[in-house]
Amino acid sequence: MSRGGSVRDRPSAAELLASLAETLAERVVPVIEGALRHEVRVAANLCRILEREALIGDEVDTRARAALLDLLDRPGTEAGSMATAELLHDLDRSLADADESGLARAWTTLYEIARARAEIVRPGYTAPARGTEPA
Amino acid sequence: MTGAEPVCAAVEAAFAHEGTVVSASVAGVASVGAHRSTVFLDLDGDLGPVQVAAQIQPADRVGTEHSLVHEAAVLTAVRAHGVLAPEVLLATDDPAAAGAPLLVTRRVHGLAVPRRILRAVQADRDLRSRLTDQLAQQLALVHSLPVDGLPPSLARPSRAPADAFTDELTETLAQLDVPLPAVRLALRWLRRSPPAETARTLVHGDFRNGNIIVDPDGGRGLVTVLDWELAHVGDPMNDLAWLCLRTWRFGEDDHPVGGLGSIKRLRRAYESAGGGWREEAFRWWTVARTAWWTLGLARQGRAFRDGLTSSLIMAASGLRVAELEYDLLTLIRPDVAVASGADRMPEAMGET
Repeated sequence: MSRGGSVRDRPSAAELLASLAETLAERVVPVIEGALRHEVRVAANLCRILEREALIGDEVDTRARAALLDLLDRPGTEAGSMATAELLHDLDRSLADADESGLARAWTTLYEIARARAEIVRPGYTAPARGTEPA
Repeated sequence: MTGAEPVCAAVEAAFAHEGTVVSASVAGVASVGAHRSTVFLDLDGDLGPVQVAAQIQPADRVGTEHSLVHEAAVLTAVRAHGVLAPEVLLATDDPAAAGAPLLVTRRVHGLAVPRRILRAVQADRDLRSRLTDQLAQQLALVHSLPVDGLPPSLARPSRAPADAFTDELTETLAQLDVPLPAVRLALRWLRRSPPAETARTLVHGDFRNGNIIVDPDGGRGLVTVLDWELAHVGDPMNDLAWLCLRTWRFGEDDHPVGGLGSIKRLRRAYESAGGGWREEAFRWWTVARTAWWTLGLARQGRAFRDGLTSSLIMAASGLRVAELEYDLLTLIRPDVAVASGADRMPEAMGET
């Protein structure tokens, strides 16, 4: 019976991706070998990444855009409709003339963006290093 | 095996062209890539029973430094000095011989998949230390070979290797036309303080966990170094930095050398074997090769988006750019960059 358009009775993209990942990893990988096995493992992992993107991707992208707009000193409304890629292009071009302090500010913004994105692709990747290794 | 049977015919034809009669049957497929495919074959006939790896390549690489005949020449040259490179049984660029460029080497048995090598090492501490030493010793040997005796087709830069490399990165970034400001920042870092020039040596170019074969039994350890396609004359620290890049640790950050061992041990073994370790150059090439691989993965992702490949692996590479950008930015943290010339290994390097 219809629930009048409620979306709560339909699995979300995140839930479906989690289920896909599990199916691939636990039911398909164990019964195949060789290059195909590796490929399916990659597929399962991709589903996990997409699941995380579905859950927090918008939030991460919003923060990234805000940080870029702040760094590029653009009023929010004017540049708000620019694609993130365009903002990155602008930043890229601005680096050619940047002085030391400008480069340091750019580094800080890019580092935070990279850290958040890397955590979606590989959770735990940006955790503090476990120990020092003397050369 | 789809696509593998024509390789049998090509191999038989190529040997016949040289007056050697063999029969070939497929034993397995090692890998299929855009630039070459590798198939395992069982041969019999004039050579007796022999297991081989056969690489077949599209014809547009003939005569270039990517040619299989050139690579065979490199393999033969380094083997003559005792380097653990595959033994060449046949190499041809001649379409009359096999229809496609072909390189046949004696197959070496052992573990080639990095995660399997890591598991073997985790179960055997002696293997861990032996393998680290062997990797260092092989590189020291490679870097000691007289450059004059190497194949003339080997790429020899006319300028300082670091400068040539930075220019290559700049060009690649321009051609990619994807905004990667992290790489742009790295290019500035690289241009600011290139390593002091040093004697140029043979450089493998792709020496890493993923291009080695390891026999975990009976104490052997490293048995072969594969994939000499990127070999060139340049800065030897390039090889050491690439071997230790974070991306080749497969999650084993506690063992920075390919997930296998410590840099301290690698360095000690390298120097004991006559290698000259230059710390500043190691840092520089770590940044340079991290930027290079960031671009490499971005290109793979781009090829997928442009419809040049439908490979899932290539698509996934596009996502992994995020990991490499993070590594790159960590390496060029401004407070570290300012303290250049220091001998210490900065914590930020993830070598940690």
